[in-house]
Amino acid sequence: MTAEIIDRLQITAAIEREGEPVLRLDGVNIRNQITGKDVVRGISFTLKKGKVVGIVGESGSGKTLTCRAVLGILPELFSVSGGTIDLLGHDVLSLEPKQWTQLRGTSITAVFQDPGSYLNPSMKVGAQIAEVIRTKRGVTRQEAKQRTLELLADVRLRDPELVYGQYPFELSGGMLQRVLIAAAISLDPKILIADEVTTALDVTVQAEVLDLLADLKERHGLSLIVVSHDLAVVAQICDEVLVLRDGEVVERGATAEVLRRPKHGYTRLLIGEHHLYGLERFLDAKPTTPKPRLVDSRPILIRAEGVCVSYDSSTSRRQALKDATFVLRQGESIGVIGETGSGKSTLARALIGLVTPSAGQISIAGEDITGFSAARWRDFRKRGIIQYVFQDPLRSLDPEVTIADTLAEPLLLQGMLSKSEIRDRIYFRLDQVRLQRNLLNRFPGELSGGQRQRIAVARALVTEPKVLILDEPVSALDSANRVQILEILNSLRANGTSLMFISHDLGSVAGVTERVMVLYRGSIVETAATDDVVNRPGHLYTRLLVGSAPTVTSIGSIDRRSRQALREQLEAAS
Amino acid sequence: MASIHTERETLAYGGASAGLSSRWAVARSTLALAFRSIIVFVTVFFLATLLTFALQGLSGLSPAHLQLSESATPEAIAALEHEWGLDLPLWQQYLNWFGGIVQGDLGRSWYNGADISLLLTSRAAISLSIAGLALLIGVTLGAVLGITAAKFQTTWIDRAITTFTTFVSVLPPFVVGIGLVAIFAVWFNWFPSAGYVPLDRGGLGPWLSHIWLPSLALSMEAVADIARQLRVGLIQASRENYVTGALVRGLSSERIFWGHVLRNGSGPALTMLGMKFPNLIGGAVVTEAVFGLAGYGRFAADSASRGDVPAVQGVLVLAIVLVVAFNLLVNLLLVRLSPASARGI
Repeated sequence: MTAEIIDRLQITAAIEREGEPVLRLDGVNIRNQITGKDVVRGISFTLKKGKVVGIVGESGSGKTLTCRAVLGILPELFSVSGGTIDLLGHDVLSLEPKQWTQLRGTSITAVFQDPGSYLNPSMKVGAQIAEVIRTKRGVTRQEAKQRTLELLADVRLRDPELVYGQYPFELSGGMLQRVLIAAAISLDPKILIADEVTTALDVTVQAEVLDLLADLKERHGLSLIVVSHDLAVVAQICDEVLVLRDGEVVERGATAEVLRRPKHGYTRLLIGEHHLYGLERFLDAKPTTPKPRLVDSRPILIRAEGVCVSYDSSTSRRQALKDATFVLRQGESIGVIGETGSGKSTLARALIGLVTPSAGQISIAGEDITGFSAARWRDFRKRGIIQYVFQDPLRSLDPEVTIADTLAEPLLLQGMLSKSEIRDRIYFRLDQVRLQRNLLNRFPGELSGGQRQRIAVARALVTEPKVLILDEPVSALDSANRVQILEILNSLRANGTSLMFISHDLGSVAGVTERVMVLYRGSIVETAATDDVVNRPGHLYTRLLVGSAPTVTSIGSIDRRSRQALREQLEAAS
Repeated sequence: MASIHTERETLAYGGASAGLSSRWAVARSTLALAFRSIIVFVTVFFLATLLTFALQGLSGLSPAHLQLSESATPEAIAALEHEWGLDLPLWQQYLNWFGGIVQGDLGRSWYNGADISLLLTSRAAISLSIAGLALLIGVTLGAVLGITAAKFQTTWIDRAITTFTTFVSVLPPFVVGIGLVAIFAVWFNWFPSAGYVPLDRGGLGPWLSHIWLPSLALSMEAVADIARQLRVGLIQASRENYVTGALVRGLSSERIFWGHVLRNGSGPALTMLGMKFPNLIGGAVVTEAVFGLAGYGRFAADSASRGDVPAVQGVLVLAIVLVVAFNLLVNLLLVRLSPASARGI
């Protein structure tokens, strides 16, 4: 046979193999041994070679347990109580530990959320990847290192040699996730499970990781299971979607079909959130022309001019915020967007006096706060003109204090209202954040994450502030709670409260702000009407940000190659 | 450490300076750590010797109490104090004494004028033999028990070991010592019940047979503590995410345990060992009494009751050096175990 014929035969064989199932779940039930209840019921799906199946659901829906069952690493209290799992012809449920060790890494593997914790903190990351290659492939140390360096380059880490010798704590979240992916593909597995791999990463980094997975799928013929609570993440990359709720599949089908014609109410809620509050709101609308700039006559509440903040350590000085100048008007709602470390939280902290600017001037409601003494700050804060809502509501509420006392505290501190007035004020704000009065006697630990965040908003509101600063208020919340908080924010806007909404995600900000300020490496690189930022982003970073935002419609979101080009341009520019 | 920290930040920023070698940063941090450790050692040593020296003033004792009779004339006392250099200004006395210590000279005994360094060396050899062997037993047996308990977590083996360590940890060393003497020396007659033979005189066998029982008695508390700390540390480490990570990458549970969990889970046990070391030295004193050994504890007790201040000071200086040096060693080991911890200090 000539080489050509052999080639052709191999190609035919490859085409035939394409679409061949590599993993099949049939009616899988997972039981909690203690309660005796099945927490996952009747899950069935087939993963074909080179394909991507997405599993969407909120926390507790059973998506992670399903993945763990497939990997044979269910937590001790859980067991598969029904159904079959077929992994490349192996009956997963009857595998011995030895067989598992052989299959994991070579046939199936996984990467998870919080990548840093999945690496040994006291070992260099390169050595950890090399260890797997050495033990499973039986190659020499030198060969294992060589292969590891190739893998690190393969996941687009800029300096493989450097990363090889670093410890996990020396790497950023995005780099760690890429290291973890490199480790996962080190033995050429057939199936890769990506469980919430983009959660808690910046939007631009999220897109990078997803692009990388899509790229690896194409180049290595990987089959992927992508698990996320965010439908938009799954929509980017998956051929087929399963929507899980309370341990059951409520909707399934080809991704495009599910997005276009969702049947189940829960899926509709997930998609609806994007249309109401995501970038889709702007992208779906007909192309707009830039509006002529009208003179804004509303009084100015916050004026910042040339504000610089730097963090000094014994050996270096880092400028976290450079020359920030902006105004926030009465009743205005402004979004502050930027990646981790871009200076957006520093800006907010400067406004409430938690950091002192090294240069520049800030005035709030006519008062120059830059030179405030500690005592002046105390008085100023007591008046409650400006209030702050933190990202993590659990840690910003005192766990030992009831909700009622938490809400009453700022007012008691002011000492200007009678008890009944305070009670009325609290009831009013509680209604505004749509919470029942019977929560007042509870402790923060007894509330859900969404309820806690609404309490945090209510607490900020009791002093009737003129400005509310919200630092990533919805990043830790699921879809339903996110919608609720955003709706509350919109009703506050209607009542004339000024908002400053800080987030790394343009999507969550777009629905409640009229203007957006983009921060990049400490500088405000763009300020424009939200509609303009989404449809006509000016700065390179803003273009990448808009192009990276997960959307449930593909319109407007740029493709992988354009994103990569933007990243390279941005890198070259800095 | 500042240097690593800033570099990490530039990396997280993806800045142009990401090409900086991290190996250099690690080398620098190790050097800085060694330097800081030495500073700590010197400071602690200086303060502790200062306190030790102050004993002399606080006790109000002088060699005259030991060497002269009740009828001593003031002139005779002054002459004696002059002979011992006690009429010099205090700071000068301290400097003289400190200068001696640095060169290994602990001064002379008020009681018989003998060289304290010499007296102490032969006594300390006994105590340190016992404490050293006890440490060795403690670490080895403690590690074996702790690892076994963690590996067979929640089985009867684990429970048996936990029962044993709990039982042993509540027994004071002198009770264990008396028990061991009763069983192994009196009943079986395998080991001598008292006395000591130096290594250079009798060789390894007699030396070991004499210190074996006291060491064992002394080590029991360390065995129990190390076993329990190690068990908890290993169980906690085995629940970390990186264990799951290594598992799905295809490493076997055995390899993960011995290669990753053991190293990361032994930190607490090691920390505790550093804190237990003074107990071991202190415990040697009690054990010496039970086994009739003329060790360093007896020397300290005798000197104190005689009011022989330089001798007591000598004992304290030796203890300070041992404890500080051992803790330094433990800290350096801890940093080796967990590189991230070098960041914070």
